[in-house]
Amino acid sequence: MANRRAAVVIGVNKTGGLTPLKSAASNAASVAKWLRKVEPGYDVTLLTDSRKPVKYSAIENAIFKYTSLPPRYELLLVYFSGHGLYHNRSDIWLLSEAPERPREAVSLNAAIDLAKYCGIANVIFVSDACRSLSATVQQANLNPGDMFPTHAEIENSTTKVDSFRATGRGTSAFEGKIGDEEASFLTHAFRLAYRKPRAEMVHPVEIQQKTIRVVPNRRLEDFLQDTIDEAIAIVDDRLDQQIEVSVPSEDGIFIAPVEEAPARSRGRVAAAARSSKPAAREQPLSVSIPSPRSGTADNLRKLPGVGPSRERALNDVGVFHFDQIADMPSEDRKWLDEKLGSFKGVVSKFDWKSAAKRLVDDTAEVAPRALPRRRDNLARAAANRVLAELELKARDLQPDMNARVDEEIAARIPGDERVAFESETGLLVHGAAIADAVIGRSAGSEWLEILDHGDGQHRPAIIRFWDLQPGASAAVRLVDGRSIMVPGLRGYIGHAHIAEAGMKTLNYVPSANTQRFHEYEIQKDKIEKLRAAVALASEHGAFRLGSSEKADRIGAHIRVGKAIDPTLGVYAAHAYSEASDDASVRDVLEYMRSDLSVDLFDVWMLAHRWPENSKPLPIYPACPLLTQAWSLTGVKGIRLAGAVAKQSANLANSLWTTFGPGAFDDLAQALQQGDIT
Amino acid sequence: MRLLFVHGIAQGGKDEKELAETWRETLVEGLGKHNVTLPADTTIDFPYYGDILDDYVRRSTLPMPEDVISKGPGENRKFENFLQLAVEEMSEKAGISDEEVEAQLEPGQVREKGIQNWEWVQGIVKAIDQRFTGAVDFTMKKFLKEVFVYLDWNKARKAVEDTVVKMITDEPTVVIGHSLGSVVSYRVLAEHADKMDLRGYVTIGSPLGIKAISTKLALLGMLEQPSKNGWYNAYDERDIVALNALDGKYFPVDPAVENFNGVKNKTKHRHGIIGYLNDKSVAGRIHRYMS
Repeated sequence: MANRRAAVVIGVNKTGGLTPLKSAASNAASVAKWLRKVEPGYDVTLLTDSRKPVKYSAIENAIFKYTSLPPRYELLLVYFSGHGLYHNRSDIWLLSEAPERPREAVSLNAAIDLAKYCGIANVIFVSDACRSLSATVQQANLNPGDMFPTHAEIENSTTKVDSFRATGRGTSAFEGKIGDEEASFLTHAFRLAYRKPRAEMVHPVEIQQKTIRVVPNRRLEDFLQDTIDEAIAIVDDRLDQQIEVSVPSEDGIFIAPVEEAPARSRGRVAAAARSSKPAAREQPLSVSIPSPRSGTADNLRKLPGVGPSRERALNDVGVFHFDQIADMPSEDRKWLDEKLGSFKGVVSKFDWKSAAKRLVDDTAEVAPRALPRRRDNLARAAANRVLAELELKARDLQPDMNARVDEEIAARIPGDERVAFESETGLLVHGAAIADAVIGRSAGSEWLEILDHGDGQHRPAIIRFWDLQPGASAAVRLVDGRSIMVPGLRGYIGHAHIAEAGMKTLNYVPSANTQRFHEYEIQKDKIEKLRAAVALASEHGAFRLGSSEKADRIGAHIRVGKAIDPTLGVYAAHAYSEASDDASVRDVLEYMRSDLSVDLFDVWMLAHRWPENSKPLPIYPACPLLTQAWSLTGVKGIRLAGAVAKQSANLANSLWTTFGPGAFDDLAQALQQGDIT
Repeated sequence: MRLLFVHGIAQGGKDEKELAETWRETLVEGLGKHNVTLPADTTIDFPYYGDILDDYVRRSTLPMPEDVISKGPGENRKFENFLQLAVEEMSEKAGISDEEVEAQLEPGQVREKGIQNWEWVQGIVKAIDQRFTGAVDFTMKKFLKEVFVYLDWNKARKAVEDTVVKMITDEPTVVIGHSLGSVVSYRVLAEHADKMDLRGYVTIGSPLGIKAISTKLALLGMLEQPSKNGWYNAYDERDIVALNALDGKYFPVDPAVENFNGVKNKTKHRHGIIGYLNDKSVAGRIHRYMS
């Protein structure tokens, strides 16, 4: 029977002048080997640089082979281990000849967007690569490809795309010696997830009238993080690697089944026979468990005669805790005596049963089971706060993290400034003084006045827009030379919050002299908290719609009366799009159109596979609002105006688009000349 | 034993009993080439959806290629896209030359340099009709319009399929689908074959191998082999609708479809049912499935 699954597995140890990696190619080879053995089976293409450089064209060809139409696969896995970058809030994989050859790289975000239209029901990306910020001009000028073909036959997204990224935004992923072999930590954790999953990760699925135990993608995240934490702590406790996982797929979607314990070797079978136990038991001992409870094993080296290798041997047979040894029946102890190799009889010789019992008692008295060692990080905490704001089930956070989230959220809520805007439209810039501002002229009559340049601290800069019909793009130069381009929306006051990295939020509040304001006042507290929580989660890549319940709840909470909060509309469009929910993106677009009579760039871009050539409404601003959206303009077939397009290599690493010094003059000129509006 | 005949396009306004009788007679003619006839206990069911599909097609506002030229592309982008992809695939496979297309255009016509040159698409459609269909009741644009309405309009699809689903029983059955009827019957079997005693599946003059069609089907649900007892696909290589074999490239199902490209369809456009069911191999295979 032909395989219904395919995998493109890539491992690149050496990239340009970067530090050679030790394990990328071998990890890829071992992943490929594993996938070739599992059932349901995979057709696998392995591309590593162990013999020759890995070229972009080879990857593109491999993907093309598996995504030809009509679709013949139900799942495609794309695995990459190698050097990576995080540029313009988008991931870039570096191939053998990058960065000297700018096209020898892959844009993960663009690939994910195109994969949504490849026709295969489920695509999974595993990106075991760094997400460090680009450090050189050469790196910033990479021109990465998007790997996937553009099928004209597929108009709407029918693919769920799951992604596993090895580390957080702007941070490094690591490889090191794990046990006896060099491996990168994410790949190590992945392999372990199918060998020794926790009981709660395992899910039965029926395939061709046969029930198999699998580990669904959506149950992997905690295990992967815990395993990475544990493995990394052994190598260097100062390192931190926080994965980023997005899994919109359901429980039936998995990479591989659980690897059931193999039948015992001859020696073990013989030992089992002597102890008159059945040889084909799934777990070798009656007390075996698949993985440590709560993810943390006891330190078994406290037992007499146990060092690292015996501890590992015990773990291998499912023994992680003192109480398992204390409760172990004699036949299991006899079997272990055989298993533990050169010191036969060690279990009875050192009377582990009594020793373990004492250790159980000590542990109970001295330190009642420690909390899992994993810390709440800000990304998870922010995602959790979004859940709470949506009145969905959220877990308790550690108190210090709660306080941190409160603080971050407060910094993202607009102040109570009641500026009189007779024009009903304006922009306040918080956190940075401004030097200049220019507005585009679609109708020809629009103009602005700077009421206050701000002091960069407590007093915001204030710009009043006049005669918008009904919107415009405005470029604002900050005193440090950086600039932003934001939409002016009639009836709304924009609040841009500038931080060190750039614009961290852009909120729109109905002007006090509009009808919307009353409705806004009623919901103000709720909407501002949600907006701030979503902004924080988005900044950390943690605003995701993993369930239809959450997607529906978001849909209800982003409305203010009959309108949609413009900022939440932008965030929601990105999250819906990431979850392949095109219909909801279009809903957001339609709601916003009816309220604003303009399209916001990101929502317009995300609502269609190929945004219409004929634009029914003006689109503002003339560039993506969120930095991450810049990586998608190519796959959406959007041509940005020249003055805007050239800034793509001059973007700050901020959530909302912020241009580096030098951009403002180009943007201002383009706005004044009507090249952009 | 029961035969379930699923008809194709352009059957609106016709008498379903007469149609069923035509199918039966043609099959009997084909069986005669093996010196056998239909067993006396054979029953025939003929789900008729011709008027239903006609009604949906009438209610749709799909532009024809000439409308697209006069109004400009974008009137119904999905259909235009489907039409363009399908006719380009057909013309490539059929080896229609640029000169043939050129001959369909008005002399001295100004050429659009854009990516969607609709004059050219219309030229392809006309060239296909001239070389292959050449009949008043069967033209490429009519065919593709009916296929598109069926595939893209959920309500239309359900209404058409319901006529077949109503005739699902657990008695021993051989299903024969012709033209669009092969698409309709495939969809119904993919969903309901497990409730049937399906003895075999025969498709004739089937457009299932056209990528624009098979992809749409795959997006509605993974392509599957619905018949445990075999699927026989027969076609005339001159039939423009059935230009691709249902093989691993064009219709990847497991176990594979058995293709037969040796039919010599005597009808004018090489696509008519009366040129297929009387084929010796087709009739022979139906008989084999029946026994």
